[in-house]
Amino acid sequence: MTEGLLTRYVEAGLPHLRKIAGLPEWLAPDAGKVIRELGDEGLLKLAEPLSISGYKDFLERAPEANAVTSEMWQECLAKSQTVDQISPIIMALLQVWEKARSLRRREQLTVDPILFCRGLTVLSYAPFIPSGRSILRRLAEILGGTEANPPILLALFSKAVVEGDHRTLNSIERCIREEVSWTVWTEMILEMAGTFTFVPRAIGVSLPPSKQLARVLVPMILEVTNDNAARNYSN
Amino acid sequence: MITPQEIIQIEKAKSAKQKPNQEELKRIPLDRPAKLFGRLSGLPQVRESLQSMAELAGLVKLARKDGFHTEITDEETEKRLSAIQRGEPGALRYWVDGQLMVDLRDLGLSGRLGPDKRPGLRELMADLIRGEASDITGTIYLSSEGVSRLSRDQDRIIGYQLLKLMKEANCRIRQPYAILNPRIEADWRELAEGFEDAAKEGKRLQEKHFGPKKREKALKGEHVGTQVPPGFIIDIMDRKSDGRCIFGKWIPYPPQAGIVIRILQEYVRQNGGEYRTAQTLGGLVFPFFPEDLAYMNTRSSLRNCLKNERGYIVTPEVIVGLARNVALIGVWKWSDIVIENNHLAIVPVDLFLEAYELAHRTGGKKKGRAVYFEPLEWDGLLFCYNHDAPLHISGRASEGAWVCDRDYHNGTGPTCLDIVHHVISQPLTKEFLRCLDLGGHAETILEELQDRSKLTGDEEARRKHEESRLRNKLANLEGYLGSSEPELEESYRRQIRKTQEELRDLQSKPLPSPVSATDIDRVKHFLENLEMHWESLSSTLRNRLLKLIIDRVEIRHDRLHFKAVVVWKMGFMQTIEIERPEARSMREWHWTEEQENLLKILWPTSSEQVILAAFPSRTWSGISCRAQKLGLARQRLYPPHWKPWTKDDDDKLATLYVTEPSLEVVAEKMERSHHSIVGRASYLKIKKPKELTYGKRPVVWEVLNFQGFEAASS
Repeated sequence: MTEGLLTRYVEAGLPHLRKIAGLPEWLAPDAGKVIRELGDEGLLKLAEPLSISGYKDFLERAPEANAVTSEMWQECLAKSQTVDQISPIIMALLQVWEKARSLRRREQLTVDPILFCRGLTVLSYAPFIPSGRSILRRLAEILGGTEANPPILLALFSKAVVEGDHRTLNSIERCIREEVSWTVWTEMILEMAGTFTFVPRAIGVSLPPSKQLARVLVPMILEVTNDNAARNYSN
Repeated sequence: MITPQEIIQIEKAKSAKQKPNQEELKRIPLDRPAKLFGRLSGLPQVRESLQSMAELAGLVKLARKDGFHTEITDEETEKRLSAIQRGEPGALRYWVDGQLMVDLRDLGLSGRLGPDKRPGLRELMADLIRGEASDITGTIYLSSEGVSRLSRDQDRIIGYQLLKLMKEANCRIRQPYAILNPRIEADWRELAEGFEDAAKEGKRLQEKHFGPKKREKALKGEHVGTQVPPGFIIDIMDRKSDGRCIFGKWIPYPPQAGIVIRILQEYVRQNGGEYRTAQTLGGLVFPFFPEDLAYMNTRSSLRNCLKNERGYIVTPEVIVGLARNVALIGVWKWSDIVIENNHLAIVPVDLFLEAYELAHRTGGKKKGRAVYFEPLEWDGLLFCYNHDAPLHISGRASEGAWVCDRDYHNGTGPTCLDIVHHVISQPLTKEFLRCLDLGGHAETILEELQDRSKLTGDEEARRKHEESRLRNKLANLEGYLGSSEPELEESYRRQIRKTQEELRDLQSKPLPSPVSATDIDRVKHFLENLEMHWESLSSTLRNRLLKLIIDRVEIRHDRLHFKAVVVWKMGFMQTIEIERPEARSMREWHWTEEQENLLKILWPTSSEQVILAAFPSRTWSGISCRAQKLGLARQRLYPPHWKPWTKDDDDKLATLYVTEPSLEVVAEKMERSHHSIVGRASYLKIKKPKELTYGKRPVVWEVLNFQGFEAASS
């Protein structure tokens, strides 16, 4: 396999995936950066525990990423059965994340952060891979939902976190721990995330460059660099 | 082979295509007709101003000297001018003398009038609008008074229209000592200044001429154009030949007079509280004027008031205005003229005097404080959606608060919102900065920085050039001094003073500060870490940036929550649910009637614990203040466990009180009530540090960053 080919494929596919899944531009703006940070090595390493490395053979024969046309991307992605799930699951994921942040701000977050991250990661990713069905079923039983509706499972998980339902959360943790592959995978994810040189953003609303914006930002830079803030009184 | 003659022809053709230089633009085009234009403001001036008429004769001679062919002798010209001056019926005011057209039809007409009322000006503009051609006027001869002969238009429209027409027609202005062509930038500016000066002078002359007539009328106590207060109409004494009214004094208008009395009575009953008065009178309006009094719609002071379908709304401002208006008791006031019993009073004197005293008892609103404070960063973006139509939430920069009190000021309801600004601003700013991505703008910013750097250099060069021009102008003007004609001399001196002032202003204006060298990495770092620098930036700049990006923030609120929907200009939406912190002061927490009634029941005999339980979101001091305001008395209750304070207790209190922010904690540690802690601290004169008393309480909120997106993805 050519060096960096997988990374290039994933990066090339991202815009098409956004389009097909209906994801706005401002959602996960650093996705490309994360892929580049992980690189082929990281991506393949992450794929191993969950036995989704079957595409290794495909990549051995695959052409360069830029040889794949937009039509081919869209045709391929449209065939995926899980592409419709991407948008609702991401939204549910962000909602859970915001709830947790809000609790933390109030100093009311009682759940262990690692436990929280592990549960969230598994619930978000399991729907997208074949080997995730069984764990999803078990987690659905614990949460009182159905594996056919992952966003609802995430909402139930959020409810457990907000209510401090440690019994449910510990059951989820036990369930994940019983699946060695998922345990290894989540630990790998958390370890890799810790090594990033930046903090990936969930949302990044960008504006088109304009002279007007520049005329406001330039005095700001000058204020900061020249230290000549011209305020009269603080509010 | 090309010949020298052909080369000369080619070069001539090239010159013809080139832009004409200043010399050419100043040269008088003798192949086009010239026009001598005269205007004086009134017939008395035409009769009496020998100087002006003589100057017109001088202009004819000047035109001949410039090279225009004229046929009429100087004696004939002077004879015609004298005939105009004497006001002879058949006197010629317009004639063509060879290449020169003499147009004196505007003699006796004010320069403030437009072309619709001045035939000379109308024809001139109609001529110039045809553009540059051999049969269009190429030179306009004006006296030394300059462009004021053309127009003194107060709206400054006709002057600029003339300049544009002259520029397009390549028409010069010829004065005794100058030739000006609007196609030359400096001449354009000079002519524009001339029109501006003419307009200002026109206003001054108007006041000087008409002022005495107005004053004469005012001395009789008759209407002179001031706003008529509610309760009165203007008596029409007669009509002019053009149909306009000749007004007399103000007379009572009973449909409104009764309402005025009712308002003042209620105002006195409410002890000078205009807002309470407005609320009590809620729904009261001044009816509209009927058709036969339609002329009052533009003359009554009610035209400035809020209206509904029934009439003009009685607002607190209207109430205070009435309480201070002596016209209601028949006193006429205009400038320094005061006439008692000028017209019939519509309000009993004793009622008015009471209201007047109340209105002047309270101090006026301090003006101008806002200029000393920068705007709050979200100023101009917050709207209260608790009403039928969204109302703008004002940012009180000097107090650091957000206020929605339009209904209160209109007397149609209570203050809707009054809260310290950080309760709303802090979560909005935090979530805004979290979602903002400016990383891709580094190149544009750097470009702008580099442009600014260049601009500073350009500005310096421009200043030097402008200074040099003004100095040259001064030197030229000073050279013209010493004329035998006093009017001309005065004109030069005026221009010299003006030029000196311009030079002084230019020299006193500071140059923009130079931009230091900034590279792309620093710019990128700043843009990616804006959150870090945000608090150190000036509030004005933060507000400007927010206004560029955010369309509006919709605020809905109740006693316990705020819901803020932040709508970005590019369509992104955020919903932020903010918990309203516990009230600390009257500013943030209004008492309802039910709460006050409950307090009246509980306060006299219930224990502190019971009262605090009844008002869980209020503090004891807040409740006590309210009880005091309501005039409630309380039975003194000493708890059975009361014990005297010892020296050790006092020392312990002195330490805890200044270090522990929470009164509950201090009370618990001291095993005493809040009340006794505060009382003892006050007795011992122990003061809590400012940061503990007024520290900002942490604000708690939750955000949904994808409003709208959920509809798209569901």
